[in-house]
Amino acid sequence: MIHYLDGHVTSVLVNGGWLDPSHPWGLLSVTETLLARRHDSAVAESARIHERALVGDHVVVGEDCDVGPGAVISAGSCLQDNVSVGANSVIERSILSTDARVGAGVVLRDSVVGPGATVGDGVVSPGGRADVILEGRLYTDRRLGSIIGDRAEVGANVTLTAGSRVGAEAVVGPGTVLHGDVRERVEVTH
Amino acid sequence: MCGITACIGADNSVDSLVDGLQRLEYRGYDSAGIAVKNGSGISLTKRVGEVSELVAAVEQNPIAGDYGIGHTRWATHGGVTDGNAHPHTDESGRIAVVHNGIISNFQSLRSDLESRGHVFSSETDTEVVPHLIEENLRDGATPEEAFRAAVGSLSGSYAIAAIIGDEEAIFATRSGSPLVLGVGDGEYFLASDVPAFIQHTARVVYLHDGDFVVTRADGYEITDSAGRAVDRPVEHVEWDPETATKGGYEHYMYKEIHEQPGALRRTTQGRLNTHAGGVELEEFPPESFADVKQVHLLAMGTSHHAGMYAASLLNSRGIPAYAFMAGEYSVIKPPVTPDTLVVAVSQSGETADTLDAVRRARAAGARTLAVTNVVGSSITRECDDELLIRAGPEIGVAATKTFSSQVTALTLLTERIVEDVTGAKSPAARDLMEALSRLPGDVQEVLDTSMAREIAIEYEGSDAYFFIGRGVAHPVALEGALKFKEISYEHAEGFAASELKHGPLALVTPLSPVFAIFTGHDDEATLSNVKEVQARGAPVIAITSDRSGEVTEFADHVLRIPDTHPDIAGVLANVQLQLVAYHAADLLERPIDKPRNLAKCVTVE
Repeated sequence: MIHYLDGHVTSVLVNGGWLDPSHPWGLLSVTETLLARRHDSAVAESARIHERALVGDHVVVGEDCDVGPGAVISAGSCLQDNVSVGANSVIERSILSTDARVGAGVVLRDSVVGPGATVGDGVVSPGGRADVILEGRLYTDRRLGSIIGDRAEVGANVTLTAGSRVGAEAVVGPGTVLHGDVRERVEVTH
Repeated sequence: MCGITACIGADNSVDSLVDGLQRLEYRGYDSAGIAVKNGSGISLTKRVGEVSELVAAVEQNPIAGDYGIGHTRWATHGGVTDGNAHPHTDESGRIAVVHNGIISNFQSLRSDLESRGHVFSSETDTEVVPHLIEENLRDGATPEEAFRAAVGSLSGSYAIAAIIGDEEAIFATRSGSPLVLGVGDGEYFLASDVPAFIQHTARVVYLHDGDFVVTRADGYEITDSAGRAVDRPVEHVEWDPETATKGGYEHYMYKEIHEQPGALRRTTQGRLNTHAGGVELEEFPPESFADVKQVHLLAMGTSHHAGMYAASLLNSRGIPAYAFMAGEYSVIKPPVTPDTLVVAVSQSGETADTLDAVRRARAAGARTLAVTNVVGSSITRECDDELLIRAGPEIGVAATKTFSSQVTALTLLTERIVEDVTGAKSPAARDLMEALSRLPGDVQEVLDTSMAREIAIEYEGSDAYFFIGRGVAHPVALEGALKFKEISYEHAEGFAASELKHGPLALVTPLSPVFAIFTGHDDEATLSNVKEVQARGAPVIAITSDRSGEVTEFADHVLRIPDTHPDIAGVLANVQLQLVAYHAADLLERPIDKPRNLAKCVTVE
């Protein structure tokens, strides 16, 4: 996401603990650590949580989020603003960025969904551990489900195996089983 | 038009006054001046030109004072000269006055004063005020009595602040022009608008017409015209002071274009129910508009285009709706019935033409509703109800984020009205709510991916720029052209796509690019208009979400927008056109935030 920013990063002053999410899995563990520090959940007043949805402890739900009936949002998850999660979806230890749309019956574990991305009905990202190659370097046995880039579209019933990544604005056709990476602005079908 | 500032209680008032004027410069920038008072007397500095000229003058010849008043002018009475710049004083130089508005009886007041020996040094309407105060003082009145008596003989619209003699106080009043009081820690501010002092305090008192306020270093007192104490609540403004600065952007306009996703999130916050597929407006519960038979939308400029947009949505859902230019409304006098809902749209809530039209509508018995960005503005007091667009402060003279937020707020209002009047949600409601909740992200996508600068470079130096669209894209075409002409000074016109062949087509040449807006509704008809202009050799830039179809095939260039509901696609298309206008003006090095002859908040008719 950083490469979308044109400007230069100069310096940041920090008063307090320093948690360094320099890799994607770090993003999830840092979020989990931060959320574990509070005893309950932070749900914005304008968020609409269906009465039959379950929002667990150690969870953040931002402004204007919409969580449908039967959905389960569990510890370590963060829904930024204006995220929608459809009926009966399960979100565990995952980050859903602003404007992300998650359909019904979706399972997202240890995953990151970028701003404005769409995750179709029945998509499964079961999470787990995987070997991940980042910028030519191999990282073994990392806890990482999948990463879905900004405004990417993942079709219905896609399976995203552990460690898979979907580039920004890429389109993954319905029913695809994905191992590894889909590059930015690429369309893949089953 | 015109901005006034005043402060008392700070160590040195000059910095606060000048800083405040710079933040009010959107209200006028023909000339600027300040008057400050210290132990000995009033020091006055004023200069033709932008506030930066005043800053340079003050740096060259520093002045100091514990309290003072300031003014940035948009000329109405008298040319743009140092002499006509505010503050104005009496002959003795012991009274200084700043004024925003128009004193309609100044000619007769001036002749009377002149016949009694007063000598005027400017052509302004304002200068009568210090002379009137001086006369009353001479008759033995206290400064406050003299101020009240002088104001009592004025008619017209005004917000006035004055320093009088040796009294360590600022005297101020308003009638028809905006004035707010800022309450700081041991310091107090008066200004036409909150950004002038938001750096110092977020605690604000919105003064009402007819209020008098006397502000001293140790407090303030508000009274009515009869001198009775009035209690006005101190409100907390939730603006981040940063939003009233450029925050690293080269222009306010560019910053405000990029603030649109955030502004739209605030506009829709808590108002969309995508589960139920409907709107939830706290201000207007279901049935609020059950007895409405027709809707009149009154506004000027960009707000009028938002009004036209809403009228198009209402009509397409079976509710008779008419968008009027507020300035024409009092002239053509359209029939108003008690079941007419009059919706007045004004960013500032102070637009004189719109306020005047609202009064006419009220007098005729209509129910009135204000759609505005400014809490506590005049229009919210004139209307029965209000719907805030919550876009945050907009400083650039060319309205950008407020248009997007106005259209969005009006779209929500439209759905409420339709549901109340017809007893059922419009068939489009569910999809539209879904599209509205996606809108901030979609606008972000346009901002991230726009090719507008390339288009502006490609067509720099053209003879004219035309904008066409139908349905909701018609007001967007008008708005695209307005934005383009007001900041680039190039000739730009917007038309209903169907209107082209009835005249404007004669203007179309290979040197007049045509921007065609496609919303996904009636695109085929617009496409045939595109083919007409292409046959005359004009290049066509299509603004569309179409990815593979005929539109992209026929257009010379495409400015792409995300696929969305046709009713709201105009907002996305408009963002592309804002960027085209901005970059075109930037290439020409125009003063984008302060286009010549214009001011943001038009408080004169």
